[in-house]
Amino acid sequence: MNLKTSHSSNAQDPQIDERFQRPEPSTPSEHERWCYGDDVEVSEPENEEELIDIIENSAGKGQTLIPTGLGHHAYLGPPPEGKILLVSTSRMNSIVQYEPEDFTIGVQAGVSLRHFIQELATNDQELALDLDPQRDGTIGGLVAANWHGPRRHQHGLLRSLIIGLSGVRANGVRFKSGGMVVKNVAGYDLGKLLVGSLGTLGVITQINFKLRQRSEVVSMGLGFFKDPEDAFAFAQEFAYNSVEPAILEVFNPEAVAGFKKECSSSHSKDWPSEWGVVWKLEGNESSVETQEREIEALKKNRSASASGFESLETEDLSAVSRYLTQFSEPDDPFRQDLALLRFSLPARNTRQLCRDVGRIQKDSKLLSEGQLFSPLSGMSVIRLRGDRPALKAGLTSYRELAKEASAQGKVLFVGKDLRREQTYSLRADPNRALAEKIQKVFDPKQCLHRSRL
Amino acid sequence: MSHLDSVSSPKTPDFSALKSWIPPERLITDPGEVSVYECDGLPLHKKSPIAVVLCKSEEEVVQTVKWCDREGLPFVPRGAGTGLSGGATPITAGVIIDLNRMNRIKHIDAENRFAIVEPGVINNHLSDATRPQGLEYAPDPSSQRACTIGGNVAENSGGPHCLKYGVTTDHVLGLRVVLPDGQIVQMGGPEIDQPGYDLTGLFVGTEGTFGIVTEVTVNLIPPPPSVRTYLAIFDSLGLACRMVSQITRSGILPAALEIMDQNTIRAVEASVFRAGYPEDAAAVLLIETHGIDDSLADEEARIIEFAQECHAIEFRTANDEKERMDLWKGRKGAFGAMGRVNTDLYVLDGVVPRTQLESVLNRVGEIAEKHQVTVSNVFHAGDGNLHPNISYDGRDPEESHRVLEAGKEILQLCVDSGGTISGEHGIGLEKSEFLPMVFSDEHIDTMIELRLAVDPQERSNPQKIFPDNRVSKDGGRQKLNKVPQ
Repeated sequence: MNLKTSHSSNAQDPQIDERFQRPEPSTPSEHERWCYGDDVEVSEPENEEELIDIIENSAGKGQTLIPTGLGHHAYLGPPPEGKILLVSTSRMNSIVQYEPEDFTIGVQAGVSLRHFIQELATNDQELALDLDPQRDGTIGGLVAANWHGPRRHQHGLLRSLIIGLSGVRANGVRFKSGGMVVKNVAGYDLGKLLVGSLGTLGVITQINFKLRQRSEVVSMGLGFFKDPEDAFAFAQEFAYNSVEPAILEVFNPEAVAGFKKECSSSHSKDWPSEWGVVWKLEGNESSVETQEREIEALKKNRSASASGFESLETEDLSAVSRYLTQFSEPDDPFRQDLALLRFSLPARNTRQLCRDVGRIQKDSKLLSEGQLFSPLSGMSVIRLRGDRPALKAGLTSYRELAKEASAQGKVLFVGKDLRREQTYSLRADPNRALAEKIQKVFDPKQCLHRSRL
Repeated sequence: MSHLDSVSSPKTPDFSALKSWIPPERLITDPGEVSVYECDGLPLHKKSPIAVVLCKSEEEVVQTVKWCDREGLPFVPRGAGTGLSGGATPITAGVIIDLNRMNRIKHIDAENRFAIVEPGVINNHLSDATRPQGLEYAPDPSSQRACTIGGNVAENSGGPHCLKYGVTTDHVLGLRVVLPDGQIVQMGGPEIDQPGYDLTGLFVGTEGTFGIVTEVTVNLIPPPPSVRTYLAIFDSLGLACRMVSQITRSGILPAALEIMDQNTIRAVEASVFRAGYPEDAAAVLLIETHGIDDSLADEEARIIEFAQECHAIEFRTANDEKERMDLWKGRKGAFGAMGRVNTDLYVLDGVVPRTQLESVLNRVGEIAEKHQVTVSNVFHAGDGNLHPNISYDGRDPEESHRVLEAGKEILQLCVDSGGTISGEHGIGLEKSEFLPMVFSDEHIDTMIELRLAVDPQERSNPQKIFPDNRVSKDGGRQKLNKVPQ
């Protein structure tokens, strides 16, 4: 079933989780204290001048500076030792320049995702990421963490959506690259450097993006298979057709169970708990219809090996989209029994990764909370549950797997008890020496939390 | 006389170490022969190198870089020399490291849609090699039949179809680089989620100032299932710009939106690139859409509507590949055609917000009139990337001066309109003094310090991008500028 896009999902009032709220100015939230300990101060400058003052005044006080927004990604990477000053951009939260006719926007880093999404929706525009309108956090946090979701295959990563970026280094000097035009090669592309830098290079203060028109029509479908080999075989056929899905993921039975819980249609209750393939099409009406016809042919070819195919009902479409978007984030960042890993491989190797993951799971005491494999982008996310010894042993096995499979990836989340001993990347950065030289330019006195990345 | 003639040359180097391993036919030191390398596609500035080393392998690049280091010589990496910002001009009379012979396509992984190539591979040759496997390399600079992938990486090149597919940086997955100290680093790769900083993203577009790229891993894409090409003809340049705004505003994302003004049309029609554009038209807009055929049909109906609303005097549709090629012929040959207008051509490269095209082009006309220069506009209208081209006689110093003044004024206009001074040609030598138009001293300091972190001696393509007089806060650059003396 095709769904004409509407903005109704933005209108829902999300529940506020008080554990993420800073109770008063300069006071960390419960989540920030959980991640960083009690020796934490918070500064919330209102503009770049105040930010520079804060940075300069902190010099020599022995505090580690951690740039942050609302602190929702505080769990990323190992935490630092000692005193911490969180420099939050949450009050630098203006939309600086929005040019709907040019499809560009410039926002301060502290603009909340909800505000951002709502503002763009007024012109039926969007940033081509899987942004959940109910998600909390700031734009700056999104950029620092290089957040991306399953639409990455069609729309690319955040790095290709940024047209300008500015900020302040840890020595109080401003930096900037790009501007408000969609094509720009003047000066070095610091935007690329800062995306995903996790606050180790300075405080991002403004980001300019290029935008796109929201699709007129979206449609999602599901296929169920007893054997993962059949699921992958079906998914990989998409690559040999003119179908251009915005999302194409293979998922294991635990993930099916996960999004069944989110769906409300009566239909969804009958979905089998098997391996599945989910696809999402976006575009104008004729483009989506044409692709659906092609998918019908693919389904026919695979009808013998599939348990069934489903088109998502309107009420389930948002729920499944949201489930996929949130899959790479902890449902509760206070959990100690959860680990989230993201693997990145050349796309066709995801099938082998899936087999390897199955082998590791079989030999370990870890439980699967779901696995998503993207056979077009080569990204896979594995959710694991277990006690501390099981998680620790499991993470070691998965790091070895990354090495053996020549895969890259990240530990997106691990319980606090294990965080200090786990590096963010699954494999070591081969260019660490060069990275350190670059880091020194941005943070000559080593005030930032350098080892986070 | 070029202003570069006043730049002092370094001492005579000792070539013996270099000669011990490089065959004589791949080391050029004869003053007459090295003069071929005195500039790239920007003839406004010229300076001969003291030597040219024609490298065939990464190992040879490393050895040459290390030899330059020992001799205290700067070096300039060079591909086909088609750059338009003087990026490959050897200002300090150093050594040109020519990479054209490193032209192997080392690996094509059709299943995973990537290729690994050496920097000297010609842009067009890559797609020629991958097309039988149903894949293409998307960035298509106008010089794609001559320019190299290494040069494209250095300049972060664009091209007409980058409107839909993105510029070079969007298609480079990884790089192997010889740093200015001779060390080799491999950054990025076919896996998109790499550890550490996005060094690949940082290095693309650094114009050779961070070292020499010896291997590039690029993303490949399948060709579009359907293509439709149109030509809208106008009796006003402003109306052509308005149609671009209409299309952009509508949310349609064409693969290309290219405008040519009357001067360009006339130059094209008088050349071997004649494409049948009406010579009395004020502008033509070339539109190409890629995608699923049914979807393109919907878009076509809207595009025709926009053409009517903007009073296009004629609207042509390519009915087959031959007609499509005919419509493109004039656009592809536009720069070549302009070469016939006068002895020299200064190709400007500025960007403005797409909604500003009409007003900026009106002002460009006024600037041309003020400085009495001939400007022809052919540009990537869909992303606001202007190319005002000034035809002139470079033998006339007074006219050359007027050309430079007009160019500067046009770039300032782009910046004042919310744009920038380069969309795809790079800053190079041409616009290094204009960088403060878009960046403050603080911003430039950060970039210079980054450059010094990677290349403390400023040996790799010195005195490009940044203004000569800019000294970083710690004075580091002033000290280092002594090196080439």
